[in-house]
Amino acid sequence: MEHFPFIFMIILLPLIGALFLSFISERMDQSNAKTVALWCSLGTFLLSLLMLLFFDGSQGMQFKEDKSLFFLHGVVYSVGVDGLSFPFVLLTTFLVPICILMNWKNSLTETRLYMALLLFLESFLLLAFTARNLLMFYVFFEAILVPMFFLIGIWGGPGRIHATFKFFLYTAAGSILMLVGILALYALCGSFDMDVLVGKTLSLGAEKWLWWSFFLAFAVKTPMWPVHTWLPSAHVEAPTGASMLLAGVLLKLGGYGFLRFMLPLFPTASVIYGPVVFGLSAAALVLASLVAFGQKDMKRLIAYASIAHMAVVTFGVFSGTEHGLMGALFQMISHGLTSASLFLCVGILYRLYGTYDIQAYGGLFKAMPLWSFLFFVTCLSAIGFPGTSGFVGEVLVILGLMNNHAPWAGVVALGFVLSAAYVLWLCARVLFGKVKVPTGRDVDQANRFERAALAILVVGIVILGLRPMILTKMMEKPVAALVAEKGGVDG
Amino acid sequence: MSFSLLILFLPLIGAIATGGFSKYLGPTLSVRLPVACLFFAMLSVIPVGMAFLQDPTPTVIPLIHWMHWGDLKITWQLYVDRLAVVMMGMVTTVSFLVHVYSLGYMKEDPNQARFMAYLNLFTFMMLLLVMAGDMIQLFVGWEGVGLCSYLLIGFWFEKKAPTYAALKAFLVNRVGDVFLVLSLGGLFCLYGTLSFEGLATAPDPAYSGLTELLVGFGLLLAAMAKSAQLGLHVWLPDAMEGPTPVSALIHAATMVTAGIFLLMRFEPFLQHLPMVLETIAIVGASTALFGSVMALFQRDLKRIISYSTCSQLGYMILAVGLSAHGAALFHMVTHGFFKALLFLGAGSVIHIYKGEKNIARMGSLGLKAPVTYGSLLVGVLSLTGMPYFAGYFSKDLILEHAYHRGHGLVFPLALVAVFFTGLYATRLMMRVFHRQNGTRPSFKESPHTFLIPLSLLGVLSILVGYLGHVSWGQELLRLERIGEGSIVPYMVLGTGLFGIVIGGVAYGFLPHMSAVFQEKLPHLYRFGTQQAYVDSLYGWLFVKPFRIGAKKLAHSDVAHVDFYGPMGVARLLKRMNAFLLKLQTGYVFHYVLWMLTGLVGILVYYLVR
Repeated sequence: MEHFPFIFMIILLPLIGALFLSFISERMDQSNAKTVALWCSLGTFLLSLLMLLFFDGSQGMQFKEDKSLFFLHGVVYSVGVDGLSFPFVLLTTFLVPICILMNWKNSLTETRLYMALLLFLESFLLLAFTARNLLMFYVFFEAILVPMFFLIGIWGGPGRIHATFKFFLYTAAGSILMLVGILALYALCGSFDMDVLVGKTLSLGAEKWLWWSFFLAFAVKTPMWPVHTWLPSAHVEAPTGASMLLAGVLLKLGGYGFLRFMLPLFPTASVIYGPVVFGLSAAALVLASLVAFGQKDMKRLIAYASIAHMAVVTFGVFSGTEHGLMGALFQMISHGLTSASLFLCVGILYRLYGTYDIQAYGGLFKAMPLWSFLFFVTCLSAIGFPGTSGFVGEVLVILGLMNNHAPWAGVVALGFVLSAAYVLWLCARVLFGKVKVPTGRDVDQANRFERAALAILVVGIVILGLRPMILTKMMEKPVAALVAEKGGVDG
Repeated sequence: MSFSLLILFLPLIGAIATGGFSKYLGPTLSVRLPVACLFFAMLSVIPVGMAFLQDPTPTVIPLIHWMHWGDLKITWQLYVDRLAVVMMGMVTTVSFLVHVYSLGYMKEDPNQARFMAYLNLFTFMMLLLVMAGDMIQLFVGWEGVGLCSYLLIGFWFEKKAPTYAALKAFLVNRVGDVFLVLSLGGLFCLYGTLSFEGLATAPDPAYSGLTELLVGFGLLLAAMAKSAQLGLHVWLPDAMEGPTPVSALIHAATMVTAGIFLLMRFEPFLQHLPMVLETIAIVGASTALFGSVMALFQRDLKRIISYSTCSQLGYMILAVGLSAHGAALFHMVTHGFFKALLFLGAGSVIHIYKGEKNIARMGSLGLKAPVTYGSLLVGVLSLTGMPYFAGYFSKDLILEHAYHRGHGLVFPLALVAVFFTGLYATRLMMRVFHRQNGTRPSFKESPHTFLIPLSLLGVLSILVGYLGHVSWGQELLRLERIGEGSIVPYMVLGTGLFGIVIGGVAYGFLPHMSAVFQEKLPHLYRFGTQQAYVDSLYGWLFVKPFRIGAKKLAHSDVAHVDFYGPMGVARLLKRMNAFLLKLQTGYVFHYVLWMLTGLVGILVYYLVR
């Protein structure tokens, strides 16, 4: 089975589903489209689980596939996974079926198109996460914007047009310079292949310039302060499924990019500019937390919480220690589950009561006990409560920063208080207090597909919190390699 | 061995069963099951304690590898040593009695099953904390008890005050948690291990003293938040919004002692830091005095007792600062019992007065409620340290240490606190039971479900004082006696009695005393009733700026960062667009003019070059 093209299959399966959905009759029953999409994404998930069986944590890149495309010299399809990318592959294949499942009973306009776009998105995400070729990565890094553009633009809220254009143009503009950087790298080293590029050493001047070109692209995607403003508006307008994938997986491309490309390609510049990143991350952590506290709209609040959580990731990435890197990776996966779960929670509320306004809710603990329980557990993960996945990442990042950057560790730890403030204040207003929504058995509640989707996510959060070794085992090897590469420079 | 596992996991099983499946268990079983779980957990402490007495080496029971990677080895394990055994005994016993009390106290509440599940979950977390063999595991328990406290303070979540009190408690505790996490990180840097076994055997680190000092102060701040010490005590009086059994269990007997437990756990580390120890002693002594003075001014019965808790916790912290761990542990145990007794007695009083908590509206209950009266009396006598009651033995010991080892102000502060303790305790009794306020209410004693656990606790809280007199008790507590035959016990007893007598005269025979006081010394009076303005100060220093800042920043994120960022670029492009549009006039001679300008420009460039 070692030579079975797993990655090709997991990329192809959603594509086939998407194409199938694109070409069949428009009059097809809604649930049919959902069935096709669900089976395709579930198949992909099962295949990725099968990959997990054959995945060997002690090895580097695995499941490599290389094909040169005849019409473009030097441009190749070259994919593979290692401990850095495989968790993200699993996260993607895990979240997409959940996004489909939670919509099972809800009516959508243009279901066929919606599902096809979700599958396209999944396929592109997997291509970006598995790419071992810079140009290929860039192409799919950008291609992802297209399905997301339509998902927000067609199924979004009232301000969707403005939000979707902002999202598209902002992130695309951010990464234009990365394309220039990639081409410059090609000019300097003569290859787009990561395996080749990692071995080359660049002059310090070139490294510095290239560092900035890559950094801008990934910083917008992550998003870091102050280039984050596309995120809240995109989230507020996006439909629930798109929000879940946007916060759950798309943002991770930024953090993944830092780890996969910037650290190995520009090790010296990454050390030199470390303090810059720390400063921006600290600003993001504190400001985004405060801004989140001041929100009246639940979804905006969660969007700003995402920014604060991703700041912990950037802290970890540039800490230059194994603990920090591991913490950053763990925090990304954990945030993928946590934010998806949070967005699903408020999505359910929106479907039931038609508003994101915090003021409109109260006493949900009485009105919707099960939903409230799951929401509360997710909130605990968001505040880094031990026993949930959110705790592991934050603690590892703090340990990683402690040795050489202790004051910054203090800032990350401050996040513990700030996140507790805005999340629990949200809980105090929404879950507790006087009941403001109708209660009783006959009232329309979260349906069982939404509940199932939510429960699966929450179970994932708790399992990762109790047994973090599931993930860390996979990642320890490449993390150690990343630190060792930098070791000579870091001194 | 396996009994330790039983002790730990029985409450968890009870919590899950009652919390998740009360629908299937039925209303009766779902409230009784947690009590049964706790009962068997309590019984299981006996064999563990016996085993420990035979072989006093700490037992380590590994559970799972939580994280094993590189130099980071975190194993969840039970670490049963002397400290853990004593804590386990105290926690399970008090918790069991509070569970029994809650059966009756919360009977009317439709969510009694949820309440019992939370109580069980709390007990699990507390046991996890005291049996932790690893610092990360300790942190899990540490945050876990905080969470349960949050859930239980805010148990009546439809009311506003409990919800906000819960939020406040959690946030203030989180401040302490931050310092704990940072200290643990620092310890990991220093020793390269996070297990207590490793810490005890680790070689001295090759760092400068600064890191260690910071870690030491971090631990102190963490303990101060959890144990409601001066400055970080603000959450405890508000936490009284929760149901009374919660106040008895969490905010008197167990959770609030976690800070003291933490400092005792890190004894091997802290004993090398005299500066930190001195600070600990000063913090403890000042809290003891502060709490006892504040208790004098409160009108809410439960708030009085909560400030009393604050003050008593101060004594324990003081003892830890003096390295008198035996005395601290002993006082923790006796206080756990007599304070739980006081709270449950107060619950009974509040029940008798049909929910009235203000002592200004109580009085002349007298002996109409003999058991309630008796239990409060036992609690108060113990609290004030009267001979033959539990507090006498433990508090004396602490003051003895303060006298012989304490520096400067420590002993005087603690002694003055004894006086005020006598004063507020007497005030409480006089106001609740003995005031002649004319009306003769026809109140009846609480039902048996209240009285049986109360009596049990009353008897236990007397007996527990004699732990120091039996051999196994001494073995467990390791009381260190210093200064045999000194005058300190007489000083303490005299001061306490003086406080009681003054209080008796003032509140028994001078009915207008407080009105006069209020008139003559209005500032002092307000200082007391406003709880030393600490809440207002924090509101002004932290809460208000935070809320205003949040609002301003939320506005500015859209109005400035977004407006001048991406939207600014968009506007710039639009303006450029408008400008370029103006160039497209459609007149041929305009275009020709531009072409000529360009040509001339190029020519000039080449000629000049």
